[in-house]
Amino acid sequence: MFHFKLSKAVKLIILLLLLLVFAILYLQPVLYMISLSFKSLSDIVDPSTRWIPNNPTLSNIEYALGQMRIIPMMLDGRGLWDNLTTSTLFVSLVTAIPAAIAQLFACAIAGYAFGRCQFPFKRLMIVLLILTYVIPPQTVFIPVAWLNNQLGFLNSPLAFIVPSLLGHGLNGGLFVIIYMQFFRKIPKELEEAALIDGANPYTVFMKIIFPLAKPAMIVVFLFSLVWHWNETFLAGIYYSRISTLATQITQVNIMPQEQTQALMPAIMASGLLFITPILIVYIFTQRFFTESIERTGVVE
Amino acid sequence: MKIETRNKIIGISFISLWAVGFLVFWVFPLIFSFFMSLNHVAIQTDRLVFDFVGFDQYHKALFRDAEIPNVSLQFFAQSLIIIPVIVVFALIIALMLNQRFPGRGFARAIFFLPVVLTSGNLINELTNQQQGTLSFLQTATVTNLVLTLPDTWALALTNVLNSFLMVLWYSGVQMLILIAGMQSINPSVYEAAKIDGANDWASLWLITLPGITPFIFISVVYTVVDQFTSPFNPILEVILRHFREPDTGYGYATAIAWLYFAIILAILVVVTLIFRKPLGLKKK
Repeated sequence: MFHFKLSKAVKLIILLLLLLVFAILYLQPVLYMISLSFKSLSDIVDPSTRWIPNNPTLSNIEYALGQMRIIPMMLDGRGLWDNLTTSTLFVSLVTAIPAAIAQLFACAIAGYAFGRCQFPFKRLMIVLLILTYVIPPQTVFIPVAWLNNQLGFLNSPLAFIVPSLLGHGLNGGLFVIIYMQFFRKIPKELEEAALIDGANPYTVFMKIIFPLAKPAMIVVFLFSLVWHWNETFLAGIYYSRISTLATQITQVNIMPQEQTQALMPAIMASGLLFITPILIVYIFTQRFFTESIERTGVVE
Repeated sequence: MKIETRNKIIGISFISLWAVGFLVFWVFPLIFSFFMSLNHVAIQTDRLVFDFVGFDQYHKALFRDAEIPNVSLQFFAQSLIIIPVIVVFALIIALMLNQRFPGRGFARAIFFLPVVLTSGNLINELTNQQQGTLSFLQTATVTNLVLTLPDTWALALTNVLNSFLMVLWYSGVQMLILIAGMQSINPSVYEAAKIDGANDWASLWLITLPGITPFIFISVVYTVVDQFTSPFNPILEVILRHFREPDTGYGYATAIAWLYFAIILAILVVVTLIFRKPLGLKKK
């Protein structure tokens, strides 16, 4: 076996080198996307231009802005909402943000019930909760789409927001489990003291328990936001007249190719437009992502 | 009122919102979807017309539709390769990121970045651009090696290799779970082992890996669920196509979806059985 001893410094250097190699492999697709987005036609045909374009251009981005339908078409004779939802960026925002906020609250209430309260058939319900995470959306999407049609939620963010308000929605099961695990670890004395003082249980939850769950809230909100932003399967089913940034990317792919515009850089530029908002969010919040699971103690 | 009754009423009030949602968005769709899978569903302008056919559509999907066994065998072969690759890779990176070194926060930020970027359509575009391939995996030796395998496996392996980096992009959350697991191990255990003369290699196998077994289990479950709803999933495409095709329609699409769900459950049961022993031993 390993009888030779490596000094600490050598070990550190090997570790850093390995991480560097993996980091480059990891980031390569993103860097490629950024690079290609700014390449002009001459850069694409020139094999010596690998990463940094010689003649950087914004034409791909401009083309993608049009194809991705980011700017709303404001037409007279249509309501403000109909006009605004012609913008994929607007649809993405009004889907992801309210749904994430709804899950932040509703999943916390359900998580508290599962983690701290007593009610009939609780063990069975916990099994069902885990099942909701495991059942693929493919199995239920047709009836759910039918239901949304009956309720008039198709082509409206309500299709995502209403299930979220009830503690379900995209990966809702997982979020409830996160809260459940978090609330289980809070000392019982906290509630008991307040309850003995005569406070009602709902006030105790709102004023004492829920504010303690900040680490779990941040995780749920950020993941919910990102997953709603990235969602393509359900968005493709629920939205037909409107579309989100994530579903619009495929439309760039099948657009007729203009003579002056190479298709691949246009697709990559569209991808870049799509990831930029989420990248900005990530830059400011990455600490919460990387520390998230340790903080919530989900995995215990 | 007895205190238990009171507590139960409070509990029911907290769970009621979720329970209503569960009835509306899970119980009803599951029953309706199972009912549809037993029927041939025709879509009229304003309603659905059901024609009861029993389990015929299941029979068709399993034995008469040549496409489905082909597609699913291929996909399951691919998953069988991908899932361990993702978990092992996440484990290796997590072990590295768990060491002490300058810039660790920054390194973690990079390796976790793909989690916010894994959107189905984006990944497909990047894969189409060959942006997932590792050039050394496409050399003649590797290709020849792959071609010695039976067809299904060869094709599956080629697919995995061709999108290798994209596969790795699916390991972010697992990495986090495993790092959290590693940090739950008491540092004094390592110190004690060191005093007894254990080197890093021995500590890894005798302390770290047994200590994080439950976390590896969670990672595997997460990976299975994640993979089976991923954009690489060809069965999903088959379901969607039948969903849009009036001929076969909702009924056939849901029948396939139920079979698919049954298989996922079976896989999760197998995973749990594999981990039962190490998990059980830990409890003693």
